[in-house]
Amino acid sequence: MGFGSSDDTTTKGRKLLEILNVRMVGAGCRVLVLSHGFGTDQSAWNRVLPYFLRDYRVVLYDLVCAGSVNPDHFEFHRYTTLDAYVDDLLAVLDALGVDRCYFVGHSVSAMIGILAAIRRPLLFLKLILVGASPRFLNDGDYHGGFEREETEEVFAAMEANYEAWVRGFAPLAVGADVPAAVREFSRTLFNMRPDISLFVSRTVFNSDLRGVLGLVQAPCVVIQTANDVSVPPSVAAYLKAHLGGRTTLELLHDEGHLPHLSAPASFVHVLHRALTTTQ
Amino acid sequence: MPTPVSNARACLAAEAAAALDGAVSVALRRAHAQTTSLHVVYALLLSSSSSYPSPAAGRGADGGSRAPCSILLGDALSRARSSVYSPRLQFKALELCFGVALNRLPSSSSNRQAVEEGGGGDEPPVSNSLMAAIKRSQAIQRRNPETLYLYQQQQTPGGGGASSFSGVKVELQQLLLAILDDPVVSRAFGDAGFCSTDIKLAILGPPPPILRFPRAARSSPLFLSNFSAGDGFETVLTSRELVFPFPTATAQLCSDGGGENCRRIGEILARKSSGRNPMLVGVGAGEAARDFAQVVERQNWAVLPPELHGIKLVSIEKEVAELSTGGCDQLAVGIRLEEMGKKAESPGAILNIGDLKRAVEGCAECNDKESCLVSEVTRLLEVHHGRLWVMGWSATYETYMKFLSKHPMLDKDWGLQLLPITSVRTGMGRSLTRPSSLMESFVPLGGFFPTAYESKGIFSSVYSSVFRYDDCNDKCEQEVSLTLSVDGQQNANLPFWLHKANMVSLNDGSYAAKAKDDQTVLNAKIMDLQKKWNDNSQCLHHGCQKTNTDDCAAVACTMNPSYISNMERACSWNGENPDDDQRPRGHGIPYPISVGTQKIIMAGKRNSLPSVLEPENEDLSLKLQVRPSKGEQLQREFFQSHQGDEHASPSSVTSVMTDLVLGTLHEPLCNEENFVWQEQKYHLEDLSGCLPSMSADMIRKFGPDVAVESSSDEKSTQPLVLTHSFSQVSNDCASAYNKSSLISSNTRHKFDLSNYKSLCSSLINKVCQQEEAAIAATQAIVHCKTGERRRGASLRGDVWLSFRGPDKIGKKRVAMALAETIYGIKENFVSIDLSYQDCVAHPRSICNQQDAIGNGLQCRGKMNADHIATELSKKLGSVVFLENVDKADLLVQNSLSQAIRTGKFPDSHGRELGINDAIFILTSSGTQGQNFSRRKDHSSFSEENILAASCWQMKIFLEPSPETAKLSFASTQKPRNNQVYEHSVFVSKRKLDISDDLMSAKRAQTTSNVFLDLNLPVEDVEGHKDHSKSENSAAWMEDFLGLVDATVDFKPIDFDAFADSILKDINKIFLSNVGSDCVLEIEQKAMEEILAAAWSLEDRGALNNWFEQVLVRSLTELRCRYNLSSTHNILRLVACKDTFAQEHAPGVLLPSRIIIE
Repeated sequence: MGFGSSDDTTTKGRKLLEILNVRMVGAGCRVLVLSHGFGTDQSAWNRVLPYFLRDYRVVLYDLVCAGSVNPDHFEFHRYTTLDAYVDDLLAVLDALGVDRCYFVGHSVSAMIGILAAIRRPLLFLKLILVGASPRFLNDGDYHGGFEREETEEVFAAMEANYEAWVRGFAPLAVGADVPAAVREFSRTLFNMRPDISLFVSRTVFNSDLRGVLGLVQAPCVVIQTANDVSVPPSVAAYLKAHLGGRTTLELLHDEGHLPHLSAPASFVHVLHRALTTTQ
Repeated sequence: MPTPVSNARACLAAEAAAALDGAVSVALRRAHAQTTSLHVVYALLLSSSSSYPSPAAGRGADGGSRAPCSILLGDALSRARSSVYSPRLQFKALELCFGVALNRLPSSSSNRQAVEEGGGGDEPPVSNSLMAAIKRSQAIQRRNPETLYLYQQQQTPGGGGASSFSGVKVELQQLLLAILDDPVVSRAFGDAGFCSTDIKLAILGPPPPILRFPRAARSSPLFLSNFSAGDGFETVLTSRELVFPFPTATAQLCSDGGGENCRRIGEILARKSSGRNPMLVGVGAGEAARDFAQVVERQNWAVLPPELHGIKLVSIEKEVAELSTGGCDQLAVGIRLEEMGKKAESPGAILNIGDLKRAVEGCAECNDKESCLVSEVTRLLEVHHGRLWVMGWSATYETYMKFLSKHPMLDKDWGLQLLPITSVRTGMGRSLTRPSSLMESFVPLGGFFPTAYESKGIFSSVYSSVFRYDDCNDKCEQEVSLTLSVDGQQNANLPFWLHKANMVSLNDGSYAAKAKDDQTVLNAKIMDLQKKWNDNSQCLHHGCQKTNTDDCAAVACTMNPSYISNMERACSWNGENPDDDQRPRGHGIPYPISVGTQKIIMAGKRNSLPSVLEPENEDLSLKLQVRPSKGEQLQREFFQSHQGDEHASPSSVTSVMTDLVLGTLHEPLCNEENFVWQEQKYHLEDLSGCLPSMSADMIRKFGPDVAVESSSDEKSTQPLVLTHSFSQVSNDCASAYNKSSLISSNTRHKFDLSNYKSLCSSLINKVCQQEEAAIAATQAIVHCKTGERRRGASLRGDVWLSFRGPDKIGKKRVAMALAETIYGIKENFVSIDLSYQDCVAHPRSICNQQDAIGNGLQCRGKMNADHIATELSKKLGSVVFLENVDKADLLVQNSLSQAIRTGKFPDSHGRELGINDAIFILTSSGTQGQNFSRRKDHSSFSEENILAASCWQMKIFLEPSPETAKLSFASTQKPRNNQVYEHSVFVSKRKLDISDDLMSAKRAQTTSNVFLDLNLPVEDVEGHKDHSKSENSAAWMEDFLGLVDATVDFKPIDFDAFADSILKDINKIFLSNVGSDCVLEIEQKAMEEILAAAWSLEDRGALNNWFEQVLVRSLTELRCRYNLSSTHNILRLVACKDTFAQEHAPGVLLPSRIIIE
């Protein structure tokens, strides 16, 4: 009767670990999950990763929308909401046997982390949200940074000529004048299949986490750069005010939406502090 | 062996078990020996056949009481049947075919007897083929991640492997799919003109056209993995409609996630444990609730788990809303709830209480009614446990918390499960309706897209039911209207969208548009209210948070344990996978891939080093024989030097040779070394004859001890020796070594003595305060360069010193002096502050300013380890001065540890740099220096304060004071200041009243801005630095400093004496320019500023210039303005801590002018 039951789960877990290129590296005992944002893949953490290998077991994975994942696995009807990404994250952590972890999420992964922490409060010791926003669109008093018309224009541009859009968007997002970072971000952004890229952008812009921020119980650290094209400073303040757990705001002096690419040294410093400060 | 019915029933969920019971009763009636798949299908057909000629009437008649299983099969059959025959005829044929098939089955004699006797015989056991079908569906269902948690919850902890598998309850849908694979069954279907594949497809979907996009098939697997190749139609279905969403409007529906939300609601409803009543929270919650209501009303069961098929939804949203306005009488609600109770039979009903906001807003007098309603719902939930659900929604978390605070413990009583809804349907996607140009713009991947279209043509025959949607729609509409009439006699009680659904045809395109309009209106309302509640109920939610978390926590716990066992296998597999070149390596080695590869290679080289060395052991042993005597000499020499009269030093030539021999040893191992070596050889041949005119470059190459400062008579002997040895070297290394070491041992004394002396004297010239430290440092370097040092297997030329103690500037100055003396030019000095924090903490401090500017520009986008490596590669022979080593990040720590052990400094990419010619000097602000700084506690100036001093604007003003005041003020001063007072210039610790508050406020800010969170109390963040990190760092520091060649202690600077000497200078200037009538009082901060400037300057020249040009100019101006000669006045020089000087005076970081008030 009981044949193969654990095999099935293992197979499933293995399959997912394989599909999402999950890696677990490092010698520490605490688990640190690094989750990349839109337009990048796990390689975005390469410059940050070495700093945490001694003290943490670091889990790296790709979101299913990343260019490094076989696009066949991106099921359009499944990934219509961020919840499906949360499923993936939780399944990965379960498959790895992680029962508590520190989570670092950038951009869309910050949203995913928030949702995951709501669903599984005990799993997350702390959330570190980089370039995070609960809602990208403006809405009454809430200033998310984008008008709907603007986003439509962006989508139209993406549709019209993806490559040209990437060339224009990457330096804008990186913000700081760090050519290596721009190159790197362009590469990973262009790796995404354009239809997936557009689809994910829509999903992200359609998401609104403002109503559920209070459900988060894990302590959070919001890392916000001085000038982020996607996230105005008021959003970081909004997060701090509304996240349910104890929340700290860390301001980076560097610019751009991808501090882990453009200013790794100072980012690592702040991240270290964020991880180690007990609240 | 047939299985007893009870065992088989244990594997089935309620509906499937009911189907099995039907089958058993059929088998019993026919007196068959076993219950087979044929019986199951036949029983289902019998129960549904009566309704088939007029399905609508049938449904209307028995409502929810009819078995859902027959609906599932019946619906599927009606969609899968061939359109050639009339439905009635075909269903009749089907019954007939199955009847015939059943007749062929053998009957059991005992059962036949029992039947003939009129009693109920034994239940005929389940046949092997049927049991296999059950097992198959169990396995498929287990693999489905969406239902996985259910099974884990069911598992009893510690129940063992066997029981965990049997815990899977097979749903009817899965059972039917599995049974259809049974050859006997498919043959019977085939006889009746059905294709079992068609039926399967129909069972899995497809829903009515409008709602088909969200979630085409409920059991759609994660990455399609739970269907074998034989079930390929699922893939086809998916790809056909959904792979390329752009050209159609489907994309809009697709990306809004409506179906996904419904599926999640369904998941919660289908839970067996507590927390099965969904409470939707989030901006999109209202929308999701409406979507769900639509799904239920249109019976779009494909979105929902099978056990929910046939479920009813009753909304009392309106009543709840009217409660708050007081317009609704309790009776009406009571009636509705009574209805609910009746409906709550199989398969159940959902009570939708709608938006909590309305419930929360209610006035005081309707609170009674409301709590009455709440308790009534609670009662109903208890009575109809398992068949009645309640659901509600709230746009914000705060509203929900407020609701809970009004009804404490309700989340427990009702078994509420919070479901965050974060996707918002918007008007986005309009641009998508125009033809997509994306495909043209992205040619390389264009191949992906056409397949989606091609497949349409191929599979349209298989998927013929698409064209029969009209039938379904009709049925749907009928059902909707029936539901309406059953649900409420009066339409007025229904939510407004039901009215719409009633009036507007489902196929009408305008419906969607209207719905959208409604949504935008609704959205606007939600936003308004959300804002309101954000303000109102923040204070509430902290207290209530705890109570509702327990549910979630429990779920989280049950999900975890069984996964853990899989972890190991998953990991090892991950490491073995050969396809992806990233993973295997990344798994084993704690470094990123690119780094890892190189590391391995380098490690390999290093490991092979000792063995390669072995052939050369002869050389080494030769050398070792020579050394002992030399060592004795060295010791004697150092002893002498400590006494201070005679500075003796060992040979520089020897050290040159050491370097050369090192080169040969490394030659076969490392190309880099080889290159350097050849370069050296080249230079040697060129320049061997003209050593006295050797360029600075050469001197650096050949070792630190050939100092430029060597006096002329040494130079005359030097060339002879060196020329000899160098030419030998260029011919034959080994022999050269032997000879030159002999030669050098003869000539060493004279040469080195003065070299060492000059080294020391030039150092002492450059550092006025830390002579002893400078001498100790020189000794250590000379000792290292001449001594035979081995770290691990290789000989080393790099030197590691640790400077400890206070005097940050002094340490740096000594290091710079060393660089200048040893390498000849100042530029061979690399200074890096490893603490990022300090730059941020005091960005404009005078002492940090130079570094901060340099570091900031170079570090941008760079790691510290890479920064060091870059600087090193530019100047291989240099003094590397690393400040705040205790603050080094992990990467730098690793690099430094490796460098001190192996002589190679790795950067973050694993590239290694030879550091044989470098001298590393490490300083730290850590514990080592503490005992030194404590000693001078009574001093009026602390190093910390002076380091923190910035280039503040200064101002000077006149304080007219009568004689008495002056005296009393003077008497409160310290005796030391009194003495200064006699000079008419003194330092006051007294703060100015006006700026006092400002300053303290300012200080609070500057201390906390390191953490940049002004909302947190400072001690909160500062107090709780994680211990593990600092412990790790401390352990590393201890380790690392243990490996250092020598430690040099620095004395604290006597800032008081320093200040006195500066005051004397100022006094002189003051007397000559203003006169003795006045007194100049220099405020503490201003003095610190001046001290900082003076300290960081190499000589006083620029400072004196500042006194003469800036200070004197302001003093004379002041005198002119106030005509100071008459009375005793106090002039005050004050630093304005809130403003920074706009311009610096030339050569010194002090303001270029002083404000006069």
